[in-house]
Amino acid sequence: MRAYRSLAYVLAKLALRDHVAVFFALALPAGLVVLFGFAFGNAPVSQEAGRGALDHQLPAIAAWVFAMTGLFSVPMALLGRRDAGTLRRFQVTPLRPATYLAADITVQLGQAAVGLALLFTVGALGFGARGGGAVAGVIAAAALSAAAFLAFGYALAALLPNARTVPVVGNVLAVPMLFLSGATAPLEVMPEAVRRVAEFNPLLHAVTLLRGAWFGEPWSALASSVAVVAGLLVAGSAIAAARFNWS
Amino acid sequence: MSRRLVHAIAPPTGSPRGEVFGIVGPNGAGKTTVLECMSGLRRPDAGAVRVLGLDPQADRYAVRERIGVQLQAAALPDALRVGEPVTLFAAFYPRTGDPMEALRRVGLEERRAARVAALSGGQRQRLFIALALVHEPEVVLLDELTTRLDPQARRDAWALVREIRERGATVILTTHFMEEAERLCDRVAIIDRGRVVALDSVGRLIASLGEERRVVFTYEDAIDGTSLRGLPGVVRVERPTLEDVFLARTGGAPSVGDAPAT
Repeated sequence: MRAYRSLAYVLAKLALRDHVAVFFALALPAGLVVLFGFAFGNAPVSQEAGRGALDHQLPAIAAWVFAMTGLFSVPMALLGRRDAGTLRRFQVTPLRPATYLAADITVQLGQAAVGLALLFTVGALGFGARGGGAVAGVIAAAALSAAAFLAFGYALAALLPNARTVPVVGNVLAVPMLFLSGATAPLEVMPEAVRRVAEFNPLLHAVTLLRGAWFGEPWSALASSVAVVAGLLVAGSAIAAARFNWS
Repeated sequence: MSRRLVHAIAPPTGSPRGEVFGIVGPNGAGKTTVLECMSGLRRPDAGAVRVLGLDPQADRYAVRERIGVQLQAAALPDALRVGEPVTLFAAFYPRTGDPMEALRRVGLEERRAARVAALSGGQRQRLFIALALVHEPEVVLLDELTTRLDPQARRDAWALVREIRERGATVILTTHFMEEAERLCDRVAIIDRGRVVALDSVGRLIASLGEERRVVFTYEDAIDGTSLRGLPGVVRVERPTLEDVFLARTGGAPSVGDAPAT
């Protein structure tokens, strides 16, 4: 427990000193909300029960933040430390790998949670965004999505050879994930084949899940998205556990 | 690694405590491999490894609680401040002393708020020694501790190694500087292509080449080497080296002062 606490503390400090990562985790999501709010406002859109553009977009931005954490932040931090030999130095101490992971997950989740809180606060207070769903439901959906994308990140770290490959692979995955998430361009206007492919996009399902919870839709209506996101969590964790090398 | 090497290296851990045991040999001889096997990072292809009577694979955490390791290729995040990793590593061990005491021992107490990135090569190695000492280990493994250090920093590192031995720990170090092995080690194993080709005390290893004694002394006036060489039994007369000049001009102690009497 002492090792976990000390390590989480040091990793958190390191995360805060990495100004680029802080920008992407905290400032960028809130900044996107501000940009979006000023660009489109949150005036009710007629066909959607008094909901505005930002009401729709807030949960999508939240899901996007989680995906970015998994695609870039998690593998960059882990592989950067592996490349430098820091993990190897940890390996010759009594520190258990599970303790390291627990501390790393804590910090990554904490960072995502702060980013999320900031995003919803700016959206709600700055532009009057409202969902109508229960807070507990939003938190549950956010926790599941965040955990799934973290697992995705650890799986990437397990499969990639070093930190230098992370931006390349991350971007190659990020662009189609974003494009086919339904949050940037409406999927309805896309050809049938593209829509089929999009069904496999975990980001699409995370957006659906978070938006559903935010709007207070019944969980039964979100079952397929819950299944895909939970599947990503299980598959990612399994790949990471089976394939990750500490040195 | 060959079975023979693993077996032959085993004795030092059972040796009386407070020893500096050197592993020397050309690049690729297997020096680092031995230390990796001892710290449980690598599984030997054959043979048995015991550290403090324990198997570094099966009892890895029990072994790691009692050994301190400095690795050749290991770096800390540049953004850390010097004191932070020491406190962090102290938290990894069930019993530890004062982390600041470990920093003081390596002479970095005043640099504890500095960024790791701002340390010189010698200071960085000393920080890694502090990390290896923070839990008062019984066995300390040092892998090419002084390879990239300047002569003065190397002398400082030697002083630290001696201090570790004075406190009763066994130090097992690899080096490819014969001078370092000669001055620092009580016993030395010479390995070549994965095999131990010699293992003994420094004095006996040197003596094994022939009945030769080395006498080191300083003198004030110039002495003609030839007159010494003419004395009965004198085989060779050595003069100060460029390294001695470097140390004298850059503030180090004269290297002749700590040569082993053999």
